[in-house]
Amino acid sequence: MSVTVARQRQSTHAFWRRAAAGPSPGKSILAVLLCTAGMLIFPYAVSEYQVLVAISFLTFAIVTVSQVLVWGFGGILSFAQAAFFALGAYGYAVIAGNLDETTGPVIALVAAPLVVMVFAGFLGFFIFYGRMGAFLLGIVTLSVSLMLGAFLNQTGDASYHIGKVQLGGYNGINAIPPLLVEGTPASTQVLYFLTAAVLLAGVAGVALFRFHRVGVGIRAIAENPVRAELFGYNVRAYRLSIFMAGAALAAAGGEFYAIWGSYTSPSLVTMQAVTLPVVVAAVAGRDRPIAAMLAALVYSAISVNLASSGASYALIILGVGLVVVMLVAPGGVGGWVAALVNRLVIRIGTRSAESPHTAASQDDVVELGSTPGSGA
Amino acid sequence: MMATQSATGSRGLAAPLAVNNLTVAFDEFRALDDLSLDIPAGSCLGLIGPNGAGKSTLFRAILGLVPMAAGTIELDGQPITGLSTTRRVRRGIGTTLQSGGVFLELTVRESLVLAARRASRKWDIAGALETHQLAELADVSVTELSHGHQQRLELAMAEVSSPRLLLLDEPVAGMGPMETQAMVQSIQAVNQAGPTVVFIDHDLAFVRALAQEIAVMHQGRLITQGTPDEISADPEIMSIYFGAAEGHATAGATEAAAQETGTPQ
Amino acid sequence: MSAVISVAFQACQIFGIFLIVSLGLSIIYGVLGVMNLAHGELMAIGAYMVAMAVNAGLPLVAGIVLATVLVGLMGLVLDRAIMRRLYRRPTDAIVVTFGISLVVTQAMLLIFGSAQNSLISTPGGEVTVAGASIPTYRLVVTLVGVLAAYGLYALFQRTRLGTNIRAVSSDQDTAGCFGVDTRATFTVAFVLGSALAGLAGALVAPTVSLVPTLGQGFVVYAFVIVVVAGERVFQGTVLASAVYAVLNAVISYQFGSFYGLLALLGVTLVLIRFLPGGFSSLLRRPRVVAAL
Repeated sequence: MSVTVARQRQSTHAFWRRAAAGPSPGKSILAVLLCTAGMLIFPYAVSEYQVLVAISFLTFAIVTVSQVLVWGFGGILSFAQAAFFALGAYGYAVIAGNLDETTGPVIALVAAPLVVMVFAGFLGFFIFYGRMGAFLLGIVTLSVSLMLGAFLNQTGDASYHIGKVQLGGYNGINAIPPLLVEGTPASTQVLYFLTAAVLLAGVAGVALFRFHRVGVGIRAIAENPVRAELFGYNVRAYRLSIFMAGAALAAAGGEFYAIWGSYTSPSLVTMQAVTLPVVVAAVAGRDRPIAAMLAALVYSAISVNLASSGASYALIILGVGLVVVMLVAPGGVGGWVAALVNRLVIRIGTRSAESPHTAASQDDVVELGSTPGSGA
Repeated sequence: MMATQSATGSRGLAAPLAVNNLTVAFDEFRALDDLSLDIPAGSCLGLIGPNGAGKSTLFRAILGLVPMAAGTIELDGQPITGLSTTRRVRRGIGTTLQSGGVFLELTVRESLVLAARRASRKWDIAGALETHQLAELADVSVTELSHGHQQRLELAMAEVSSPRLLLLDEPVAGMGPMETQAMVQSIQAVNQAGPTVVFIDHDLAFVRALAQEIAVMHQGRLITQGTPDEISADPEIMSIYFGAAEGHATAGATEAAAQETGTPQ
Repeated sequence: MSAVISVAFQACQIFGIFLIVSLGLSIIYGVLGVMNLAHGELMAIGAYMVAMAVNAGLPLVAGIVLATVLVGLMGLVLDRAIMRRLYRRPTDAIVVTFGISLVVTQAMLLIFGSAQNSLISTPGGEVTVAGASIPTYRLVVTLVGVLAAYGLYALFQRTRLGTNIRAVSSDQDTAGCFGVDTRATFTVAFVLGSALAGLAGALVAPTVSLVPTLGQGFVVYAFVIVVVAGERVFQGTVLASAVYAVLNAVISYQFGSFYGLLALLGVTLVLIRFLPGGFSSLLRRPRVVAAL
């Protein structure tokens, strides 16, 4: 009988080990549901002003999730996500500013990401069909983003306009038309829930995309494009597509930023703004969208608080924090936390299985001849 | 050995391959030198020869990974000489590599889904897992598999990609006798159910057990082609591989070992 | 005509700087595989140190040497404290170097303030060439750049240290199996790269306004040069630096940073399209490794 108990313990261990190991759709959905619950409760637990500030955090989280999609899954080190964010904001401002105030914002909401996606397709065409290595890709996207900033900064003259909307140089575009809900500008709460919905949909989409056939293809291409090509995958087409999808997502974040603040400016594409999504994604774990979302929210909260309390030292503390985090948690915090959670799950799961009364149950007896648990 | 009407069209699931006067050169060095080879649909051809003979280069030329200085290649009677790698693969060429042939980031199941591409619903992934004895490892990350398991996975992936021509580059390298024997049977099963198989290996017992025909290459040229018995009876071939005197003895020993350790299926 | 001459010599100076910065970045990238986002900040530190040294009464040359050595030492400290834990983690290294650049930039802002400091004057007077008066300093910088490149070349090709660096760049594990102390080599590479950044910054100090972000403009070009140079690091970097220096001098200075970056991007995309192996592929037909 003791052999049977031992075998059963082994297979239970194996079960929990397997359950804990590796990402799964179930785990992702659970995590997203938990985050959704948190975001639903949040506005009722804090002041309206804090909800307002939180909206900008959500927009940054959207960009960071787009970074994970393009970098963590697609293997493309893109420094252009912030640029797409900025283009989404500017795009919304230009489109909404040129149309009437009731339907304009809604059209702009849909159109801006599409326009940015097309632009990303154009840029991506040169990048991916030019056979660039990863490092150069990073540099090229970095240059493009800085270029965008340089360009926007010098558009102060009135001759720089698209339709009725002036680009505004380093001041940017102000008085962006708000989103109207039944004739009045959307309230903080409505805007919060809308932005959160987009963020959660995005993060769920990215997290589950990993398991879809196309997602598997992308991940394989990211790891070994030559080998993927030998399985018949059109590597360039896949990369271009995911680059465009990431751009559209980042642009969605940008347009909510424009609605939130009623303004947009070239400060969205400074060197720092451009490297930030990459850095936050790396800290969280570049292929962990949910962790990246949370990391982005935490980072935003910290930097805003630091800025208000001790402006001069804020960025120094941040820089030090980044260094420390990476030294302590190799591969990102997300993996570190996940490993911790896994160990806990295994420990709790196997401990409950070892309690005496479970061994007596007929259902738990494992046949002697079967192979022992062969989990990971 | 010119290409003739032996490229009589495919057996549906399997395509014949014709290589005509193929030359692949890197500056002055000729990796393949006016090589011609005919492989009928559905056959199983073993390609042997010392290191540097050009075997892997031939595979690369078929896949379009190296430029050809002269010659043509026809798959199922159709020339594929100008086509890109992706196009050729889509015409039905599958391959396993000497190394780096699997994706460490994926799980076993995901690897098969990847290989099956659009046909991933049609293909019975679970069945394929069973056939290649990978069912218990289905959700394990490939990076955690042993080398032998990875090679088995790679074969399963190649099968599931529904090729009409399958190129296997040293499929049993590093495997022990039992695993090697199991691979013989797996590959035979794949060959009988589907594609033409061409494989490279140095384990002569394995080659004899699996191949219907053997082609011998040396210094970029095809030396001879024949059945396994014909080849191993040829002293010149043996002396290319081993020294002349040891040739027979060594071949005999590995063969005997394989017979003793054969596993029941 | 004199304008053309003037621009030409400006290009020479920029060439010298690009060469030094890019080689430093190349060494760090080649050996550690790290995209050093703090490289521009190391340049800036070099510039500030020279300014401080000169304002304290030291002659410029001594100041430059001092700055180079000090930045090299900084690199050593950074390596011992932080970078050596990141040897096989290039992704994490991106974050860390970014964090370092953040800290350094902010620290410099705090210490020196964002107001431009007194520019140290360009020494040496001027020389007249075909009607244009060229500051002698430009020629000096160009010369230093070329000498530094040559010195590095000699180091890499003719010393054991250089061989070790090349071996580790090429294949870390195999080099280790052959007895190369890879960790020490990493340290040397990082220190060397840092010192070069410091040297570049020190050289540039008399000619630009001293702000903590002065390295950024150079470093973006340096990143591109490192990649576009190709396999033959030295020759490729020399060629690439020359091309981009001309680009920078002609377009950025005349038309502004936007057009400069636009030109940078355009040229780079064209180069990649037609020369996937970088400038190195122009130099000699590539030797091909044996077929199998």
